[in-house]
Amino acid sequence: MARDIKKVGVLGAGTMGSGIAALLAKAGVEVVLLDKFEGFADKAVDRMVKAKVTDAFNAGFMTADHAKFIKTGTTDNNLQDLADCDWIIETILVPDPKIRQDLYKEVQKIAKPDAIFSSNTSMDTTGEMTVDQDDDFKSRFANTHFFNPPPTMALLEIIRGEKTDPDVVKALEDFGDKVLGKKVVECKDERGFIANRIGMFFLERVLKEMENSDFGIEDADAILSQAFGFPLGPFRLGDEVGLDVVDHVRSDFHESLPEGDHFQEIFTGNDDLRQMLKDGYVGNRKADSKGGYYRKKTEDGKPVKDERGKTIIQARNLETGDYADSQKSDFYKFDKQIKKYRGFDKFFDSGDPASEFAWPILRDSLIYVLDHAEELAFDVQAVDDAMRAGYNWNYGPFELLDKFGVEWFTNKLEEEGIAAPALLEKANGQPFYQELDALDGVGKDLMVRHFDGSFLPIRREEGVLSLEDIKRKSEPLLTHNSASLWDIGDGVACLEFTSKENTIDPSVLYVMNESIKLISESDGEYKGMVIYNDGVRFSVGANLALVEVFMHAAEGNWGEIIPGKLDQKWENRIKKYANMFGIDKAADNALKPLVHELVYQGQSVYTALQQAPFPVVGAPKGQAPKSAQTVNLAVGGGCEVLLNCDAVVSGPDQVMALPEIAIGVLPAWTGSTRYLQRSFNREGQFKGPMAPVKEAAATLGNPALGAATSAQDAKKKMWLRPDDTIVMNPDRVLAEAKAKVLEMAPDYKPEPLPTFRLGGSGSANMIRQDVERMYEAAKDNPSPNNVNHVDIRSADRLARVLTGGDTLKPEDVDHHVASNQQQIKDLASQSPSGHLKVNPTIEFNYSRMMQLERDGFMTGFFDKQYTWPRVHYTVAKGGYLREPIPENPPTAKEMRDTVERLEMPRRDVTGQPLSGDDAKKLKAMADMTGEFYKQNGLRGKPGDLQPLRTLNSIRRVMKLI
Amino acid sequence: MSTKKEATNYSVIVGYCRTAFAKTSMAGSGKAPGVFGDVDPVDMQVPLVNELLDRSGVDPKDVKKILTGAVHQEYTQGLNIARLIAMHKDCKLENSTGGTTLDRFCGSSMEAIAMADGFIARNPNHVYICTGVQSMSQVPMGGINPHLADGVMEGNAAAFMDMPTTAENLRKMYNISSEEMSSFAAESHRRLKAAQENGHFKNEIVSLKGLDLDDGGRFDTTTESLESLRAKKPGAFAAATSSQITDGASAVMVTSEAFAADNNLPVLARIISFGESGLAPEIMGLGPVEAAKDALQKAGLSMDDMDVIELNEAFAAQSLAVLKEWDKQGMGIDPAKVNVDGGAISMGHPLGASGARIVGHVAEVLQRENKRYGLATMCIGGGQGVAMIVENPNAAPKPGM
Repeated sequence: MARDIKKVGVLGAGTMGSGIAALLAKAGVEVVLLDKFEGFADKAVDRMVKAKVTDAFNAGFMTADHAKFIKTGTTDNNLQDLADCDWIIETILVPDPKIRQDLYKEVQKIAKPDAIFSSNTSMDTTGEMTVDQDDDFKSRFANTHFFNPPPTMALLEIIRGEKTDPDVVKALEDFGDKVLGKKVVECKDERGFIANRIGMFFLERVLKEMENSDFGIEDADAILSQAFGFPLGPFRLGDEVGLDVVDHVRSDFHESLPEGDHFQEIFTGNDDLRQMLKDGYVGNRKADSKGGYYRKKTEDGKPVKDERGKTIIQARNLETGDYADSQKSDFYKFDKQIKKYRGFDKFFDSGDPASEFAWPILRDSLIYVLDHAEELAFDVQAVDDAMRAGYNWNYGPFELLDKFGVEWFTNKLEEEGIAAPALLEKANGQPFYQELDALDGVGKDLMVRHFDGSFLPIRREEGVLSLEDIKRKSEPLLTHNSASLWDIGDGVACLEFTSKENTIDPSVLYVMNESIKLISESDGEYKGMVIYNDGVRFSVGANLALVEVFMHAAEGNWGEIIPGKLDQKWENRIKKYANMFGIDKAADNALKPLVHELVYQGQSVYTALQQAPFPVVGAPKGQAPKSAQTVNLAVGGGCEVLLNCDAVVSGPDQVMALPEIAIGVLPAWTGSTRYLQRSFNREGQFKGPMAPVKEAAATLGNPALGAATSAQDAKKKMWLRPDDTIVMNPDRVLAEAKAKVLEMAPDYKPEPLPTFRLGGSGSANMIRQDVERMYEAAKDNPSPNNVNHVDIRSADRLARVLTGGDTLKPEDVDHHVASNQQQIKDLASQSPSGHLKVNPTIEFNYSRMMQLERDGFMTGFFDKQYTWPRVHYTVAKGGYLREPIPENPPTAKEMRDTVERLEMPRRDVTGQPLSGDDAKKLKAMADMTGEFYKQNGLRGKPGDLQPLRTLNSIRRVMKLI
Repeated sequence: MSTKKEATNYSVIVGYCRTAFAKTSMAGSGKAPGVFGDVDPVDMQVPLVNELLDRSGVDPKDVKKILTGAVHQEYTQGLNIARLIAMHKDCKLENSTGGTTLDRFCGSSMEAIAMADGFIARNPNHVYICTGVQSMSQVPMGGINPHLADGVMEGNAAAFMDMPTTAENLRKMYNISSEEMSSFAAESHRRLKAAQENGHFKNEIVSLKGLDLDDGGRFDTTTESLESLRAKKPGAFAAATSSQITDGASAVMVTSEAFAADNNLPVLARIISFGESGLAPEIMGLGPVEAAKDALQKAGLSMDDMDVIELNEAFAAQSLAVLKEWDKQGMGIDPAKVNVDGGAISMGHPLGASGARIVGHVAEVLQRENKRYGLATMCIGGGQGVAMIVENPNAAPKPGM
C-alpha cells in the first residue's frame, strides 16, 4: 500500500522536537507541534523564527512564513489536532518507558488508523519501545533518529522493528530522502544505532587518552579535527552537541551495553561531566548555559574582550575543573602541519607527541568500527554514510582507514600485538573502496567491500544522478583547465567548473562559450545543458587572485606576486628583469584593456548562455554547511551565471549574493542588469522608473542584507525566480535539473533580452542622497558596518548604472536605444548640450546596460587609491576592507566629485557566443590561464608562482591585448 | 434654507471626526502591516465624510468641495483622491461636490482647512469638507518613484533630508538629553492612556474595522523603560521617542459663521488665523516657532492667550526644541497645556491626516474644557511650519477681558 505523508505530528517541543518541526515547516509540510507544558511549543517556534542563522543556540532556520506551517499546542488540550496526521513523531525524553507507552496509547485513540508512528530516541531499541503495544501498532512503528540540529544535519537513521510493515519503512525513507532532503541510512535495531555508537566511542576514547596526557583540550581539538576530516575537535563538538545530550547518551551506553563491549573498558565515569552540568556548563545549545569545555571570559556577568574587541575564550582544565584563557595550541592548523609528514602512516610512525596522542584514539576507534560494523549496519557504505552525514566527518571510518592504508594499519596492529578484527582480515591488506571494472562492462565503477569480502558498486538512491559516476565512465565532450562539459545522458550536457573553489576565469568562459556552440550545432543531439558541480562551493566568482597578479605587476610588487619566495636580492633581480623587458610598464598599460576584455567576455558569454536556442538550467547543490568554511556560495560571477540560466534547480542551503560593491566595483558580468530586470518583473512591483531601482540598489548596495542565506531566502530576494525549483536533497539536484532541461526543451525559445526605461540622474540623486544620509549618520557613529567615505564612491557608480546613466549622445543611439531611434537621435542632436538627459521616455536596450556596467566597473576598478587596497585585502584575508572615516571627514560631494570616470569603447553584447577574433582572444587568454596554473602545479591558485615563468606568462598575455 | 444673516469674516468648524490611528510598518519594510494595512485610503475617508453629513444634517448639495491633504499622491493615494471620495458607492455626496487633493507634506490637511477658510471668504454659502489621509502601509515615505532634479541636488538637496536627521540636528543644537526625550515620550503615552480612559475620543473617532481607539499607546511605558530601550539606539533616531508609523484619516467640516447660524449647525470653533514659516531644511523641526508667531501676530493675540496647544510630536527632540526656542523668545508656555490628550509619539502620525486632527482636536478640547483660544502647529519636512489659531465663540470670557 502506497502511503502519502502530508501532515506530521510532533510530540515534544524540546531541542529535537522543535528542530524537527522546523525542518518539516521548511520543507512546506504541515506540522502539529505539541508539548506537555502550556506555551512551550509557541516559545520554541518563536525562538527559532527570531534566531539568526548563525545563532548557535537556536540555529534560526525558520522564517515567519515557515512558522505558519506549524500549529502548536499541548498534549493535554490539543491531542485532537493529531487526528489527520499521517505520521506522528515522538521526541520526548522520559525516565520511565511506561510514560511513553501510555502516550502512544492515548494518541492512538485519536490518530488515523493507518497513521505511522515513530520515535526519535536512539536510547531504546525499536523492540523495547513497543513492548506494550499490539501487533497492528507494531506494524506501523519505526525509529526515526534525527541529528541536532535537524534542519541542517543531513542524517536520518531509520530502524525497523521485527513487525514493522515494509511499506511503512519505504514511506519514511522516501519522505526523509525526497521531502526532507535527508541522507537516510537504515540501521539494525541495536543500541545507539550507527552514528552515536561510533561517534560516542570516539569521544570517550579521547577522554580516556586525556587522563594520561599532558595536552590541554585546545591541543586535543587542534590535532583531532580537520587533519583527519573531523569538522570540529572532540571538545568543541561536545559543546556544540550539548553536554546534557552527551551525558545522556554515554551514560545510557554504560548502563546498557554488554560487559565485554570495548566501550565499557574505556568509560571514564560520570562524575566529571555531571559536575559540569550541575555547575551550569551545558554546552552551546542552551541559552542559559555558562558554556561547556570552553566558555566566554566574563566579569560581573559581562563578556571580557581583548584589545581587538573579540571576546576572550577560556578552556577547561580537565584535571582541576578550572578555566584559564584559551591558548593557541602548538598544533594550531594541524591539517597544514601534518602535511610535512607526507602521509598518515609516516605521521603515526614518527612517534612525535601529536602522533603518540592521536594514534591510540584513532586505532581503537577504527577497531571498534571494524568489530561492530556488521552488528550495527547492513553494509560498509552505510557506516561511512552515517558518520559523514551524522557527525559531519569528511571521511567515513572505512574511507579513513583506506587513507591510512589498510595494509599499513594491519601490520601496525600486528607490531603492537593487537589481534586484527575479522573484517580487517577479510580485507587482506587491500582498500575497502576500489575502482573496479563496471558490472555493465562500461569503464570503471567505484565499488565497496561488503562484510563477506565481495565488492559491489556504491549504492545510489533511486533517481539520484551522480556526476562522479558519469565522469568515471566517460570522456568529457569538452575540457579545458578550469571547466568541462559532460554528457549526462538523454541528450543533456552538464557544464562543470573545476577550478579552485570554482572561481570563474577565462578558461571557464572559454568552455562555456564552446559548450554553447557545441550544443547549438549538435542538430538536436543535445537538447540542453545543466550547470552543476559537486564542489563545496558552486562558485565564488571571478578569480580575483589572477587579476591581482597583473595588478602587482603593474605596481611592481614582485614580492607580492611570489610571496615568501623572494628575498630582497631576488626581488631586486626580478625588478631589474621586469624593467629591462618593460614588463612593469607594459603591465600597467595593458591592465586596462585586459580587464575590460575580461569584463566584456563575461558579459558576452553569460548573455549567450541565456540567449542560447536551448534551455540552460543552473543547479547549485545547496548542501548544508559543515562549518563556516563550507557554506555553499554562489557569489559574484558564480551568482551571475545563475542569473543567466533559464531556470534554476537549487538545493536548500544555497547562499547567493553579488558582493562586488564591497571591493569597490559593481556586478558587471550582467549581474546589475539582470537583478534590475528581476526587480522590474517582480509580481506586485510598482510601475515607474524608480521603484524597481530602489529595490535593486538596496540589495546590490548592501550585500550583507541582500545576500540570500538559503534557497527559500533567495526566492524572497529575487536571486531565484518564483517558479525556480528547490530540491531538499542536494544529491537529487542534478537529476532534477536534467529533468527540467528535458521538460523545457520541446518548443524552447529563449526569453528576449530586456529593455529598460530609467530615470537618469534624477533617480540616481535619490540614491546618492540616501547614501549620503547614512554617511552623515555614520560620522557620529563609526562602525565597520556603517557607510564610510569610500562607499560613497562605489554607491555613486552603482546608482549611475541602475538609473541608465546621465546622458545619451546622438552617436550612441544606434547602439543603446531600443525604439524610436531616429526621433531620439534628432532630439539629442538638436539639444543645445548636444545630448539628451536620460529619462523614462527613452527605451534602452541591453547593450546600453552592459556598456554602463563596463564603464562603472572600470571606473571603480581603476579608482586605484581606494579600490586596490580593497582588492588586495580581500585576496589576502578573505573579508572586506573597511576604511575608518578620516579625522576630518570629507563631504560626500567631495568624494563623489573626485572620481575619474572612465568611458570604455562601445561594444555590443548581442547574445551570440563569441566568435572570430573575440573567440580567439578568449581561447588565448584561457590557454594562458591554464598555463599559469599548470606551471605552478596548482589549479587556480596563483599565489605560489615560479618567478621567471610568471613573468613570461604575464608578457604573453600582455602581448595579446 | 432660512433667511440669510450678514456673513462675518470668520469661517467656522462645524464638525470634526477621524478614524483611529492604527500603527503599522512602513511600505516596503517587509514587516507586518497594521489593522488598516489593507484599507484603501479612500475607504478610510468615506465613513468620515458620511459621519459629518449625518451629524450636521447638511444637505450634500451644499458641500461645494472636498479638500484632501495626502502626502505622495500616487498608488492608492493617487488619481485626485479627494474627488474619488465623492465617487465612492457608499459616499452620501453627489457628483456636484468637487475635489482637490493637495500635498504640503505633514502640513497638508491643515493647509486644506486654511484653503477652505480662504474660499469661504469669497463664498460664504458653501460648505467644505477638509480631509487628511495617509496609508503609510501602502505608500512609503519619500514615495514610490522619487526623483531629485540635478538642479536641486546641486542647490539645496537637504530639502530631501530624512526627518530623523533633522531631529538629531535639533537635539545637538539644543543640548537635549536622552532623559528629557524619554520623559517627553513617556508623558505622551501617559496622557493618551488617561484620555482614552476618560472617553475623550468618543466624539471624534469613528470606528473602522472594529478599531475605535488609537492602538499605538504603550501604556507600560516609563521614562526608565524608554531609557533602557534607547540605550541600544541613542540620539534622536530612536523609534521610542519618534512619532509612530500609522495609517489613518481625519475630516473637518468648514463653512461660514452665517451659514452655520442659518442652518443651526453647532460651531466647534472659529478659525482666527493661519501662520506659515520657511526655514533651512536641516532644522525643519523648528517650523512651528515662526509659524506660530505669524499666526499670533495676524490674530493680534499673544502666546499667553492660548489655552490649549497642539504641537505635533514629530520627534521628542523636535518638540522639545520648539518649546525651548519659544521659551528663549519669551513665549514660554506651560507644558500642561500642550498636547493634553497625547500626541503623535503615542497615537501616531499618518502624515496627511495629522494637520486636520490637531486643528479638530484643539476645537474639541476647547469645547470640552470651556476654554477660548487654541493653537495647532506643526513642522513640515523640507523646512516649513504651519500654525492655526481657533476660538471657541461660546467660551466664557477670560477674567479681566
